[in-house]
Amino acid sequence: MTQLKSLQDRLNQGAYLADSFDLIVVGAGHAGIEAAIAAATLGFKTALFTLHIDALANMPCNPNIGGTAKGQLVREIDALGGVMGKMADRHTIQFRMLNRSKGPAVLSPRAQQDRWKYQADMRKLLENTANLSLIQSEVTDLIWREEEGKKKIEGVVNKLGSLYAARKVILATGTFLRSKVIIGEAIYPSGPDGLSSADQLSQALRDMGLTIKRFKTGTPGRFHSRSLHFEEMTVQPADTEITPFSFDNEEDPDWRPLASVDCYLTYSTPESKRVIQDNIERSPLYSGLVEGVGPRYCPSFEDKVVKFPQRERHHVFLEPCGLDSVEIYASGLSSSMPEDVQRELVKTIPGMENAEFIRFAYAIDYDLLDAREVDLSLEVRAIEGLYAAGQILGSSGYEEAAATGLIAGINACQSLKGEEPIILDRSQAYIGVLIDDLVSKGTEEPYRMMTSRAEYRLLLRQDNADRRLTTIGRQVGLISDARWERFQAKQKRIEDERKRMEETRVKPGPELSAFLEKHNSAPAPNGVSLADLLKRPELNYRALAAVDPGRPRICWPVEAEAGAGFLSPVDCYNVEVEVKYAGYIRMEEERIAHFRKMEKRLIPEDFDYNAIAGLKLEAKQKLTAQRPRSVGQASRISGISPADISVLILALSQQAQAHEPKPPRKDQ
Amino acid sequence: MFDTIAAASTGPGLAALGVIRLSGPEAAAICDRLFKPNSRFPKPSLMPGYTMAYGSWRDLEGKELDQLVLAAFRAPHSYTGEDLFELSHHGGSQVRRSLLESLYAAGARPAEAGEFSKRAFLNGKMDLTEAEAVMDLIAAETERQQELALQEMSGSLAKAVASLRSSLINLLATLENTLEFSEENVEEADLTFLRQGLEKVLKQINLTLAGWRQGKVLADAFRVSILGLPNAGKSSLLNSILGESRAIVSDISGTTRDTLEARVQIAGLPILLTDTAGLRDSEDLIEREGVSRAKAAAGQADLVLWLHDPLQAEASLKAVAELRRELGTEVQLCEVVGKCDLPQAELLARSLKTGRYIYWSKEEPARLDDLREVIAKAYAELGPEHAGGVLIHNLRHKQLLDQAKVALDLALQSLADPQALDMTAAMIRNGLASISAISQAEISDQLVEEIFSRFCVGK
Repeated sequence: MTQLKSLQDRLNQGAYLADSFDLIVVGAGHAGIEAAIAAATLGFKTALFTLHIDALANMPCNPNIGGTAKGQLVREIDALGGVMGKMADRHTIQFRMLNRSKGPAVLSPRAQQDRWKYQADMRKLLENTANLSLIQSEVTDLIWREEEGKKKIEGVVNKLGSLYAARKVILATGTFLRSKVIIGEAIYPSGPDGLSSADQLSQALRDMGLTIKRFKTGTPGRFHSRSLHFEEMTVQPADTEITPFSFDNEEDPDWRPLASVDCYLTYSTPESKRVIQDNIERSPLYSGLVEGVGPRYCPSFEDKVVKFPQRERHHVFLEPCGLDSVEIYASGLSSSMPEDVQRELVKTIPGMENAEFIRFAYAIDYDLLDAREVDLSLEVRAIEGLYAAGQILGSSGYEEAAATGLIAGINACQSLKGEEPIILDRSQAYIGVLIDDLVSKGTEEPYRMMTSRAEYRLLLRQDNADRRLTTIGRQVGLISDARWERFQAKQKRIEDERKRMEETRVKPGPELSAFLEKHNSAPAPNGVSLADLLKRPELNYRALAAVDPGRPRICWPVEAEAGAGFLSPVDCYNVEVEVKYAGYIRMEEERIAHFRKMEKRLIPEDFDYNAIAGLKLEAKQKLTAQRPRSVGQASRISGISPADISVLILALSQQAQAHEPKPPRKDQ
Repeated sequence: MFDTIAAASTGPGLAALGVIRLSGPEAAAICDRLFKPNSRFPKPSLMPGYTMAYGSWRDLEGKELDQLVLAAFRAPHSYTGEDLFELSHHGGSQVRRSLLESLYAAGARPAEAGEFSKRAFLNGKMDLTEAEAVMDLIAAETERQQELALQEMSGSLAKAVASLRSSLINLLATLENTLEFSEENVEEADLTFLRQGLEKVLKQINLTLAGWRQGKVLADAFRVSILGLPNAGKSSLLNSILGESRAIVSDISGTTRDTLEARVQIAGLPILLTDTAGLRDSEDLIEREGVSRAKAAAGQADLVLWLHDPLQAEASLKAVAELRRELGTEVQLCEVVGKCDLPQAELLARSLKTGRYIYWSKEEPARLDDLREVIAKAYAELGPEHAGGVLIHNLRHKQLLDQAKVALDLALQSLADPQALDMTAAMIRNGLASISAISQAEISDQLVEEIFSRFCVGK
């Protein structure tokens, strides 16, 4: 292995410089694609490297976008100007809004995808994006130089030994680094879906002094539809009321999903449990063959049997993978059991007795970075210009990957432009929660976004993602003029209507009394505002029409010049949530104000933790290694106690008294 | 780094022994310079933790100040988490002063009030409720106050908080499970389970909050206000209780124009006595101000003593009836038949309907024993019998419990709308945040752990 790392050294040695870019993205999965398209759109000369052009934007596990918390992520990506939502809207074959009856904060869109159409369309988009070069070649090494103790990225080397210079590099390698597939006793180097793995890049990362961890994930088998007896299962139909992910499509009256196919639900049996229990010693998870740590929220079937032996049955959802394919995904049957056990297992499940395997279930383990070595802008702390996104940070899921990819792309560009990075906090976006969790706390298993990870869930709703983030997307440069104008018009309509609800009083009288009686609602002898009526659980916006003759007409599309007097159904829902739950939302806002106080107490970048008396050694080490941006972030680092934070606050205020104010840090 | 601090740990006054504490990075080095151990003991910097040495203490000039026992506690296994030495010296303020002066001369700094505990907290040796309890213990004036502080330090508040926390996390995990994994969980949230769980937690919070007034009394004072018509002898009553002439006593009606306060210990309780101006409509501006202060003092009191003057029986009875109306049921009131050696006193006593009254006269202060009983009973009525419960007395704890109560009441209300379980969850989370703030514990990670360990989630 060569000791020469810098571009100049390599050129001096006669290496071939193939091309130079502003930004290179390594990996064309959901993270890499968002990063590359954002950078190219912002005008930077961008290269997207992939091992397999034919496998870009792949969904090697469940072909669906969205779900609880993940649906919110996709809406946020769209609000910032990312592409995942728009693409998913074009290839949805089954749409469902989850948690329809459980409240607006947990309402989550989920869209089953035609995975091949999604890929083909994404490839077309990448091929036709200006400033973007799509290159099929394995990146095997990184080029960097060291100056005054600070490492700086200079580009990448491909498997052919050619140099590609770049000012910024984003790693979005997914599960491909030194990945191994495990099925029972069989274990072999391979990426997902039988694609080849990337076996050299991990060493380059180690050479830079980065920590390499290992995680495991897995996927269930795929079955031929003709072999499944759907008539013995419960039908899971698509919703009839359908909303798109993208705020662009929300305003398009002609938008329709690709299809609305059925999915099916069946259950494992006590027999299935017995098959697993009889063969448990052959599971690589229990024989110790798997090195990586697996996710608890997506357990293999054998995990479920071992951890919850009292449960007699588990769900199995059967979901089509595309309109032109017979492949059916069996959600709930993730496994790394040997082939014969997998075959025995499906025989015990009603409707699957004769299931024909097309792909087997497998576990895969792979190299990744320790996300605590990355800062909130997703730049690797020790190497200027190197960013990371997606599963290499320890996340799992297409949506989590796309979210971090977009932010890494945006921030690499912000840095190229000489501007401050975009850092979303935990009260602004699920994306903020996701990044802060990964970077501040680190994760010991593949990290899935969950709504309960967000402290301020009532404000981080899918319906207001545009209000929360469009301004930021616009500031960055990813929101078009047309979209920006539509956004502003929508916000004005919502705000006007909200105000009208607050200010309009319904006069007392027989009409109001009859209305309230009809809805089993308490009488209002002195009259009542529309807003107060809407706050009653038994009433909703639609019902209030009876006592609200002056409300705007609900129609779509709203004519731009029509202005006041018109509302879209989406606007109505937004107003309804904001007004109906105003009391709860206000309490949440008060908590956020408190939270922000700690987030705003910034810690100078060169702060010397070792000089603080009373700070435990462990705390000194962790704080020095992770360099939290604020006291708030410091408090979330695992192993940092409230007492440490008290000491830190004390030291910061002492220092503030003792010294002249320092210039603000770069990411302030 | 922190510097090294020293202070006397035992109070002033005559005692056979006293203790001086020295804590900080230089503690051992300072002891090395001043302490000459007897031959069989090592020098202080070589003493292992939890050992003692006997020897001679000298000032920097080498003059012996005392023969004493030095106890060593080595970092981090000490009260403050730093190197800490305790000097068990002979009693007497002269010895103590000279020892402290020698320590200051050798580089230690006088400790500020509570500084040892503050360091213990900052060094992670105790959590916030424990540290607060130590501060209270230091300030404790009476036996019961000390008991309360000890009870808290031993963690009974921390235990109560932990139990509330785990109940709430349990409820929240159940709720979150149905919200989070709706794709794979067909089971719906059990609203009855949630409602009952919330009611149980609220009951516990209410019970704890109900101990607030008693707790506050122990930590601060039981407030007794003496009210009555002018010239009823209120100041004399105060003086009898105090056993000393604190208030100006005269026979001219309206002498006490302001309120007077005095602290005294009765029935093991710290009592704050307030003597007030007599209640009447007065032309005198200063006196009128005094009357309004008297009423204000009555409103803040835990117990009002109304002193009847048998010589103005009718007016006195009328005034007390009016006062009762003004005070409502919040404030307890006990009537005192004053000047009970006068024949009119018995007549007045007969017209008192309520059972609770006592006799008093300047000449017969012995009857004040009854007062002790009245105060003990009034104190008991402030709170519920807190069998195994916790008395809170710290305002921060009370406010956090109040906040939790508001949030959890809202959570309970929100169950009326089963279409908004996310609101219920948010309110439980708010309540949990307030409860957790009492002991400064984290929520989210624990919640996620709880969900994964209890439910079979994931596809």
